[in-house]
Amino acid sequence: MTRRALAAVIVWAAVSAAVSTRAEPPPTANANVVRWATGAIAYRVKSTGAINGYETWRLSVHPDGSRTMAATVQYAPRDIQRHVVHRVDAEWRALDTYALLWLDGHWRATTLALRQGAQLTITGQSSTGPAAQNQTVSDQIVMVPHVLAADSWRAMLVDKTKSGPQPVAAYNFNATGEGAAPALGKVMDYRMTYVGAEQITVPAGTYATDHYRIEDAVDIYVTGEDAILVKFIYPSIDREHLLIEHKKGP
Amino acid sequence: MTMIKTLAMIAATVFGTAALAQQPAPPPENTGPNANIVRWASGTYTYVAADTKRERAWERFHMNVHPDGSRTMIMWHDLFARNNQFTVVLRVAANFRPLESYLSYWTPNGYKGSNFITVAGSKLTAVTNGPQGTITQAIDVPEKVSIGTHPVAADGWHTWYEDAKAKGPQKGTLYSVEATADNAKPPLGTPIPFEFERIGQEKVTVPAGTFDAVKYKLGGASEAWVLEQDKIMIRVLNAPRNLEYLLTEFKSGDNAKK
Repeated sequence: MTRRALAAVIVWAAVSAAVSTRAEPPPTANANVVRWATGAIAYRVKSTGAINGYETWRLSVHPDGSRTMAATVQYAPRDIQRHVVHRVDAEWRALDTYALLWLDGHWRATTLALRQGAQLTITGQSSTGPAAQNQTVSDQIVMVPHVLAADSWRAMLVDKTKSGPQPVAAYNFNATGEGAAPALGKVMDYRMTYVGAEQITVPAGTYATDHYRIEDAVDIYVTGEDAILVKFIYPSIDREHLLIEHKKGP
Repeated sequence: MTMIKTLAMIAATVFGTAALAQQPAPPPENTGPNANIVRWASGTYTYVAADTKRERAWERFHMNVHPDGSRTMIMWHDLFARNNQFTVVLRVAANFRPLESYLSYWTPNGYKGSNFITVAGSKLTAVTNGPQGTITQAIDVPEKVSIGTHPVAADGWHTWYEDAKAKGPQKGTLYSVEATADNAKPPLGTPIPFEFERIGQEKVTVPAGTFDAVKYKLGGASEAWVLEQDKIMIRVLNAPRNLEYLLTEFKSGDNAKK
């Protein structure tokens, strides 16, 4: 064995030694995950019930109250496919979000959005080259990376004691990857209204939900302390998306 | 693409605003499989102590193969025996050379940070963010490079530059991401020498079933059984360190055959 090959083995062994089982405690629940949930959402044409896409997601709630959601989306009618990893703090404010977008059979863009205090930093890559944005934002900003399970968390910044629409500041990822900078989105306000509490039944079960309206166009229903999206309705384009699988645990 | 189609797409993706919903009717929609995915696979692993079979962790993955032959894999790894939890997305070209990766690590000491890695030719750029702040790393890497993010599903991709005609160990570079419990160290990578050797075709049986696999020796210490086409890991045995990784569930599909 050459010296270089020997060195490679030694380095690899040293890296791997850190995960030797010899010193491990008995397995217990992972201390980084105080609560978890997984789910799948079917994207449907409301009038026909035809399923034309789906979303799968996995949520971890961490000891500091922050949440990580990893999700994939497939929306065949428009040939969209996304991977998203989305993190929020205990108050639902954006921390960082990674989103990878395929469209029409081509990789379109990858975007990483980081919020640190009131500073938002976007690092993007796309077929047109790298792109970046830096801007000062509200520290209450949320991310909208275009997976419904994560997008719905913007509702958690709505004050349910107030009536009428409330603005929620969001960094809206480029939904279609169009334009000169496919990896870049924009900061905007969504008008969100708390409609009330409702019990609804979907294929995954019956849930006590909070019903919110977005821009008088979309209705979302979320449940529980983790604001799991149960139902999404977009009447003007005949869409109704429903939670079809849901598991959770400590 | 026309503005009308652009607007229609935005509306149809149902994430827009009310104003967008009033756009002209969208063009006919695709009614077949998603054009971005020609093939996919998903699965679950269990990590065990090789001698006692004590469970140490589990991992899930989902891989898409795209029309240009590139692949994207998302992995979720719960190493409860070490209180590590890693979320990773890895995208590689048709020849499996890395294009980009995103990772988010939790260790026994809390959030270690994220890293967004891109590889373009000989340039590797990584932006990490976490308790140590935001740090950018820009380094040169050789052609024969892979990214080690520590979930096991994509570890077969480290062999992408295999020379089928060569015999004996083959050498390249592993950009190995720092993943220890020392959160003072951000999850940036270090290029290290890497070596593997193709042993040959072998049937391997794991809880997910029996597979025709290619057996490799990885890093001098691990035996690994990998599916030929997409290099998905089936089993890893690292006897010196008493580690074993087993595929326990596996599903796959081929959109081109639908």
